[in-house]
Amino acid sequence: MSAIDETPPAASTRERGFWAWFDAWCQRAGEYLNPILVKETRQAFKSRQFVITFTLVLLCGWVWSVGGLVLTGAYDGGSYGDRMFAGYVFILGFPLLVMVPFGAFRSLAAEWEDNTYELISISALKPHQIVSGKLGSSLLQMVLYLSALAPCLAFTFLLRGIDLPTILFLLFWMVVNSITTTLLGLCLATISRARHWQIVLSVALIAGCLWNYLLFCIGLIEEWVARGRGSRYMVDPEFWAVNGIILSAAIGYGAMFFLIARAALLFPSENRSTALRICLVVQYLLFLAWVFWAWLFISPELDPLAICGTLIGIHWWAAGTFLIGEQPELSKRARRRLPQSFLGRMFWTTFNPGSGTGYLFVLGNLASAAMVLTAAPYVLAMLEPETISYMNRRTGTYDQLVTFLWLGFCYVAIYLGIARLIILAIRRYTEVGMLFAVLVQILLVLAGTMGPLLIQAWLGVRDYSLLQISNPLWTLMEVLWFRFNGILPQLPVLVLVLPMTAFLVLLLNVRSIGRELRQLRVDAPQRVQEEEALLHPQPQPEPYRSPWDEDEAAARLTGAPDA
Amino acid sequence: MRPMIQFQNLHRYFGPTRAVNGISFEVQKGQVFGYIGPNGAGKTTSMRILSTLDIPTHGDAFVDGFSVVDDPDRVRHRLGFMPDNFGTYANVNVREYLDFFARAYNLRGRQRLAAIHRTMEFTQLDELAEKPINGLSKGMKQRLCLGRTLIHDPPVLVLDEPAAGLDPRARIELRQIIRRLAAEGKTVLISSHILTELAEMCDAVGIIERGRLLAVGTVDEIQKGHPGRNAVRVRVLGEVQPLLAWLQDHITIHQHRIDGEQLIFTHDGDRESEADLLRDLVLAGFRIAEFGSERRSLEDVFMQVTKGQVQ
Repeated sequence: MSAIDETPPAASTRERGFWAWFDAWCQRAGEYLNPILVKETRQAFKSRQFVITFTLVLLCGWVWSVGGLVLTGAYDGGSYGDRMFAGYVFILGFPLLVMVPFGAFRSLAAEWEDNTYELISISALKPHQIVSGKLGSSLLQMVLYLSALAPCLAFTFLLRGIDLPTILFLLFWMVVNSITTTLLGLCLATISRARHWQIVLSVALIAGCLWNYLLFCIGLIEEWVARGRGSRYMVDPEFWAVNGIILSAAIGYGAMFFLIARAALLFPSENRSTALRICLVVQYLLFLAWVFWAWLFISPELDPLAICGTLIGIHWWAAGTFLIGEQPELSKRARRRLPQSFLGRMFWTTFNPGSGTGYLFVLGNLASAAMVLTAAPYVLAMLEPETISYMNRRTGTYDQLVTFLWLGFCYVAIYLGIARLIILAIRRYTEVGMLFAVLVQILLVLAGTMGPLLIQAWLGVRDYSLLQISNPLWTLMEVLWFRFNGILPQLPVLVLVLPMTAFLVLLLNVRSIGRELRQLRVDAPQRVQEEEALLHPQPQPEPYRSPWDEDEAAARLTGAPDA
Repeated sequence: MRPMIQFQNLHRYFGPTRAVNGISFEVQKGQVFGYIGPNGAGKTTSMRILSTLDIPTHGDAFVDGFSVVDDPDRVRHRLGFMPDNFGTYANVNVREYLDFFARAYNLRGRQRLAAIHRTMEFTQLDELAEKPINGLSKGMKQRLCLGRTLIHDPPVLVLDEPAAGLDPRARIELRQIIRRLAAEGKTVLISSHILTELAEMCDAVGIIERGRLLAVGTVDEIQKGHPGRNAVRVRVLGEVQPLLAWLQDHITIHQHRIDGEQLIFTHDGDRESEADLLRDLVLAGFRIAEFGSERRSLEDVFMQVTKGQVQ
């Protein structure tokens, strides 16, 4: 009998003591573990790849423990825990930052190659369970690698030269980096099931992982160990703020990779978009919150707001590029869960899947960002009047920032809107997917930027001209940075033409967007309602009984006279 | 009564190719339905749609009344699918493989152990429980895959070419297993190229070609729907030539062949006319030692219905 079917009775485990009880408890808990995690763990322990990597990590740890001591100890007789730690970071970083993320990618990609994905996709496993099972298996491997080198890392603390907070801090970031890269690997594995794309993606991922490994290890060791700046950083509040920003970015992007992978595995009639849209909004709000914190407490100037606006613009433009490629039709299954109330429809309709709702969703969020960034210096000036004159003196005018933000909004509205119209036109003749929408957007932006540049180069004009009106990069840079030399001469035309064009493009999109916004919730089919009634029967209301009747019955029982 | 499997005007297009083109039929509870057609006819595509691995371009399919498009999760609980090229995991043995799928179908504790035990017993894989999957023969892997299909005890089974690549013994065993499943009341939709086997175990068959369903019903119904020439074999004591001459004078014979004392010929008549013919032959003085009507097989009907077209 294998371990699977051995379930010792509870009474005998109690008799055999704590460990037997613990073993039985673990077995019972194991029933509720993710099936993918259980299977992957069984496979990993028998796989040659894991055994070799684990043995190599142990071996390298031992070799460095002996060899490193000999080498570093030869130079000075003082503390050399920091140098030893640097070596262990390199040893541990390779499995954590290269092997584990790539292993997760291969594990999911192999499900398609080996024709096993179809078997698990028609089981009761949900896509989020599949992705989290793969992630869980990677986390388990990380724990094993960390535990393999844990004695060595503890050893570096004893050798002095590095303190415990620094060791824990660096290990924490290594694990965070590993988890985020693993989620990226899982996300990439779901992008395409074609063999040639899988090969391209795997090469790109392994190159990226190696680059990340070298950058992370060299960067950390250079700053924290070689220069010994770690302890100085730790007392600086700004350092912790930056760490908070990076951590929230890692969590935000990790969640996004997870949700993309989940969406790619969902059945086509499922709602693949709403969860991702919520994630995008959370990322955006987190970023905005951090920027405002830094702006208010560190540097209340206009430049950070312009940079923040640029990053938010890129965020929503990139998101919009994918969202406008969604299918405009909602499946009956997705329509069963649409919001019904007035407020629900008002606030949640743009979270519904669809290319039109996606376009509105992006524009709404971008407009909110532009409004907040426009209002922020104004509000600050009202609270602290001297601040705005300080800002104007330091970094140019408030008007230029506002123009920059709203013209940027217009560009996003124009490019996404035109791309959406092109996709809708093509979809009348043939079916195109989301990646095609991305391609259309890239080609449009390339045509809008490279075309005028080439024409101007051919004409021999070197300065900014109105020919560049379709070039968002140059135009926005001129709007923002021309302030040092006065007002951009073409600005009145830009301010007139770009908003009008954006409005026109929006108008052209309105009809098709309206169709998507009018989607209403539909009832579940009769068969589903029948089964739901069987599975979850509604409690029957108790028949009304008068308290007088109860009194009468009690009186009859006790033989007392009626009241 | 609600059919367990229902295809409703199902279409599936891949670019210009119409892999499935307006298929509609039903399979009732406890029926074994044979799905036959040449390669590229659309069998696998429609089976994949039924198993929620693909979605139709138009139309819908239902399992126990649930749409495969709108309620795939409910369909999956009721359906076990055995694809023609199934995958297995490396570094996993038979028991672990079944254990994984039992967990994947939310079977917990004793329920899971019972399901694994029942499945291994049913597919006779008990003795191979600890054997790595990669070391199994094709027939054993096929059994394991069938076991995986049965692990959550689904009322509907979709088996795509389950006998492909099996040796004769494994085929017979698989046929026996399917018969036992049918006896247990499972609804089975099975595709196969081995038509004689299907004819023996199926309650009904559907013939598909170029994405269109050409005929559906019991083998007899299809035969009646596509009348053809039956062959009759007569063995007489004495010369065969006078018999042939008599037959040519009295009925229309299309083809004939003399094989020793036997005359084999085809004619347009039905079973009743064959009975009359036997009576007339005896009355005419022929000493008939053997008279047999050779019914058309499913293969004959298949060849008659289909044109061997692929897309």
